[in-house]
Amino acid sequence: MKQYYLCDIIGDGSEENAYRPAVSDHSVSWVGSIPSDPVTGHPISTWALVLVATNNHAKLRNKPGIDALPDFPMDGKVSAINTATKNAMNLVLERRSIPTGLFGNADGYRDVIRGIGRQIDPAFDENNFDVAE
Amino acid sequence: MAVFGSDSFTGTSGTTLPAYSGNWVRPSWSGAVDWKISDANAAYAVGASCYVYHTAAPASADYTVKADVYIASTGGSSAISPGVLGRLSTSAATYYFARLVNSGGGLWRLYKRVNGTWTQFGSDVAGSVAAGESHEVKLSMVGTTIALYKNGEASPAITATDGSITAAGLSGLGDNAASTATTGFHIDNFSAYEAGGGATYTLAADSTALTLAGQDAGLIASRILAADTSALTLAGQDAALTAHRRLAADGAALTLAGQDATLTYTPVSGATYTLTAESGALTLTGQDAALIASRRLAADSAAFDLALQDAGLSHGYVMAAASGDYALTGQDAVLIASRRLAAESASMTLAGQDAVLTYSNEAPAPVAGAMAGNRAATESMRATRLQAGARAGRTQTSGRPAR
Repeated sequence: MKQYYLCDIIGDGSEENAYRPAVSDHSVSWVGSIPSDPVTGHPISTWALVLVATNNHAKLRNKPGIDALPDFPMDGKVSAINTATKNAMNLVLERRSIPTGLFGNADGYRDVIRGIGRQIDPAFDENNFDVAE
Repeated sequence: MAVFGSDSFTGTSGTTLPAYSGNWVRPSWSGAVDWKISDANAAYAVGASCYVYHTAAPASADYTVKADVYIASTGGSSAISPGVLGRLSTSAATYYFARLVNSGGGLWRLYKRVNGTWTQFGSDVAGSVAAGESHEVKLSMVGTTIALYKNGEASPAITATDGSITAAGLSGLGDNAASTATTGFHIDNFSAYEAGGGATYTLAADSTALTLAGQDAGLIASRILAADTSALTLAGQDAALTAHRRLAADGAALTLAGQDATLTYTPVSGATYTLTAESGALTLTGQDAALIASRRLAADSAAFDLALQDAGLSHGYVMAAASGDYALTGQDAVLIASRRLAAESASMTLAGQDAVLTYSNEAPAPVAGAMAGNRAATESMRATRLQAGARAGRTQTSGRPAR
């Protein structure tokens, strides 16, 4: 089962402690974009949008630096997401200085994911963003 | 897929790679240590931050680098982690890196390094590092898709979407700890080759030869694959030909040869499926050669030939040899038809040690048949009607199998 997460980027950029999203240390398959500053090589953002594939998403709950985005169909309407879930997601976005309007103004959930991804990578395309189960 | 760089490290043990061949250069940003030739014609790193690049330049930034990681011995530093590099810059520590790490029983990892800063893609993938084992590591770079493949698997173990390194750069080798000429982890069979492409719709060779050759040569046609009046040849180790719709060789030869050569025709729902060799020969040869057709397999007026050890011919529906001969020979030759098996006006021959003719549904039309060979057997779940047939050999059985 696949689900999107917002993760803090951890590590210090050394070979022994390379930059990576926080989910990387929890033995799950993931795909994510971590754009690098072309001069320093350091990530241009402190967080990453990742798509995780695992049969046990529960093990990622309440882990430091890992926030699950709603488990919701990409083609579903944002209006169908309940208010409590939306409020929780807005807090997650605010904590990472991501505009909460992405949730409030979007029609479909796909627009939300795309909007988050393009905060750090203008070329982000959710259709080319997949991970094997 | 054109190979632009390769090396099997056949040299004198203890020689540094730059001294062994001018194709190898230690980049300025590497540690002051070189890769060397091992006792067994492989290469190994002699210290931390040990890098070397191959001078052959790729035509574009889309290419693949692969090598075998040979485990000469286990134990040693957990920092031993050899692998292959791609899109490497000679002026800055910038590259993609696919490696096997001597830690946790063997871990596959994929990285990018930009001006010395490391970022890991994906989580660690469990591997194996037992002494004497050899594991293939492959780094594929196509556009922004960066992937690590292990041990020749068809699907990548780790995939990333990354646009940080877009220049073609060069290929190379890297490691972060020392092995010796006889211990640790060694690299062998290095090769770098251009990314493959292929026709999505039509691949044709009108009046011209169509040739695809080379290691791991692959030809995939999702629509029509045709060789009108021309030869269609696919050769090379692990050569594969896959057609999802119509595969034809009108008036021409269709040849698939080589060890483990495979010809697969996969039907797509709703389409008309045909594998033919009209007026031409349809030939499949080679050790473990397999011909699989999930719908209609015909050889109108032409010969069908499947020979050699473990030759297999499987057909899910109709197998016919109208006016043509059917021949299946070779040790352990197997002919399986799940529906109707017929040889109208033609002979059907199944010969060879342990030759088996199996059909599991309707009885065939009356046919002249020949079953010969040691332990030749015919099995039918309904009834065997092999009329006017000659039988010879030590053991023959027919009819329903014993329960």
